[in-house]
Amino acid sequence: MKTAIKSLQVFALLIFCTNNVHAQDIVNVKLSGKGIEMGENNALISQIENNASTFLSAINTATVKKAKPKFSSGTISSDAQVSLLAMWEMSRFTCSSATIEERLIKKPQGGFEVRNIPVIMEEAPADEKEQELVLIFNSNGLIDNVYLSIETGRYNQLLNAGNDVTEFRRRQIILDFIENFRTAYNRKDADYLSSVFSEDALIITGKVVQVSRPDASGQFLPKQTVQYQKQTKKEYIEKLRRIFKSNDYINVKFDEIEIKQHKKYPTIYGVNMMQGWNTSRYSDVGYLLLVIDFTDDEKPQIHVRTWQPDRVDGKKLSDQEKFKLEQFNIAK
Amino acid sequence: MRQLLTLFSLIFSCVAVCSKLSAQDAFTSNRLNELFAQLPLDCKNALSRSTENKCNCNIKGNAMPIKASFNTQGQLSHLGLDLFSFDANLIYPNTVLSFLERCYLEFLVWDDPTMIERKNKEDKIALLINEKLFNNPGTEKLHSILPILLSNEKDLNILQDSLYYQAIITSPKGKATLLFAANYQVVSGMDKKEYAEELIQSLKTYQAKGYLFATVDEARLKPYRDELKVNIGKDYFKTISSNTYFKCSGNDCNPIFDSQYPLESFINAFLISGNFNQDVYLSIDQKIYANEKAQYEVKLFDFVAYFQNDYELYFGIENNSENLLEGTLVILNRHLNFINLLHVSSEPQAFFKTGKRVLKAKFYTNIPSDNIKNLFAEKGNTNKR
Repeated sequence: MKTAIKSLQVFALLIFCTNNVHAQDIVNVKLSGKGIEMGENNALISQIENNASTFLSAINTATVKKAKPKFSSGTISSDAQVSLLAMWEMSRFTCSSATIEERLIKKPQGGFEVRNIPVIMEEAPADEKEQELVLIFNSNGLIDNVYLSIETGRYNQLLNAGNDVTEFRRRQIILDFIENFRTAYNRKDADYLSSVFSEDALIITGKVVQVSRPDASGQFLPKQTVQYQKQTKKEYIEKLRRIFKSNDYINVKFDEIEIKQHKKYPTIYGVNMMQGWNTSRYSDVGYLLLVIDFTDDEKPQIHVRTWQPDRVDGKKLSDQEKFKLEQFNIAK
Repeated sequence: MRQLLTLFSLIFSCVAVCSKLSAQDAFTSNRLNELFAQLPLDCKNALSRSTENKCNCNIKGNAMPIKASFNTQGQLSHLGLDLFSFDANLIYPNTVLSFLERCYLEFLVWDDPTMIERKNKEDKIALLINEKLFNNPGTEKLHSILPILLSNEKDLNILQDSLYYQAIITSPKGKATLLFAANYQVVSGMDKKEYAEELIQSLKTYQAKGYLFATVDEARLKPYRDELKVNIGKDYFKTISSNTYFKCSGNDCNPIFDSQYPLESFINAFLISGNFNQDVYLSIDQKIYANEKAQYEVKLFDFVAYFQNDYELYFGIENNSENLLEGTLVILNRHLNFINLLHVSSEPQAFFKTGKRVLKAKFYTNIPSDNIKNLFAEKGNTNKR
């Protein structure tokens, strides 16, 4: 039982009625919802409301008296009494609301249920006392089962998961694209690389150059700086083809990948990463930013590619110095 | 006459196999093609002739045991030193053992400082001989050290953390330790395209036998809703988990597969191989690499069973409406730090029909999970995977 109670704590707290009324003997249950909307007869609805109210009131009375609960006939089935008493053996409990306004849910297989009834478990640890009860009714309105709905939170979480999972999937598809992109360099597949850059892609490549500038004392000292060069897609792809031709092998590695969604255009993502470039003739390490449009996720388009060296004058590039998605104006 | 016939058949088989292996598509990866090309001719012939695809090859003056494996398409899918006993296969993942065999063979055939530096710098593979990093060989040559270490009676111990493997071979003559990244490309020697093609071949031909859902320990089942119970598994990401759902009658608990519980049944069908997914088929659209795609159909039962070993399965629901069930299956390979991702959707009514049902699915494979700093960078959280 304690294990069961433990798994409830977080979710139950979120869903509970926030009514901080102290436990009272009398509980009044008022129902609305699908069962009623579907034209169940009023007498049956009243019967369910009465039985639920009587049941919860009897529970509260039993807790105050520290006795086993007693129910009038026609309230609860004998099977349900057995499971309730088993629960009671573990811990007495009280309904913590004087009034319960809940939906009556019609079950597909017949009968009804009322969920989200807040109860306090006496024997549970302090942070796990608040629990949630579910009452199951048969088609005549008799309480047929009683249990703690410890997984209601989990169920609701499952139902509401859609957006999280979809966004997770979308980002994995972005990673899949990045892995394709990397593989294309290693396979010297210039045609594919050409197909993923948009025609007017902005391609910026940094180059470390030595300059001599006078210091405070007027002495000229060599200093490294980065010069940025802008290329068109055509220029970049032509250069790549030459590199592919003149090298036996290309081995490109990506690491430290960060994915950022554009604030205004949700199908545009910025991907920052570290690139290790290894060929038979040359190697370097640098930071890459790709701005990718996933409007058609079957055919993503790279609008921006920037490359910066990882170090200048022996100093690692800081996060502030790296190109970011928000530094580029996107016009759609 | 008999000797002549034997000689003729040997020459014929060698010509047949060798010419087959000379074609580029005779190998599952370019890496194997390059490695095979480096072997002495008599070694290639011997490997091709042997029915067990094993032989002793003379590599730089050392007779080394070498083995090869071929896949169902007849392509060479593994080549390496024959280093480990059957027992090692029971303890360690086959992919990792194959890597060690291939990697040590590569060290022997390409025994030069440039290769060692490349392996170290690019693939993050470090070789330690007697606990000293072998990065600047000087006058020492691997082909004079490794055969002595690897040919004797030896013990193997493999350790793994989330990013690296450490494989220690200890023999009376010394110790060889290989440190390498737990990355699919490094370990398998295949790139994304090659790996995807190999996987498609395996999935198309795989038929699960005897895979029925495992008995679930009732103590692990927690009340869920109605009469259902949840077998709480692990979370991969927020609401993507390995939770499965059961209906119990007395002490008998079975996975739920019932149109009254479409959500839970849908999840179960992708996490458990059971009777209920025998007639469900996946019509898979798979992006192999670049713009290359494959389209094929497999039984869901076989698909789920295929990934029961070496992988962990997680499922997340994306849509649970009256007209659509939609979700994502994450297939995690923890040994090699990548995921495969299957996105599936179905009309609930179609999913629970009897007879053959076909679900549409998009399949993305070999998405690395070891090089990610932040999957949700804009939120400024630390949701790192």
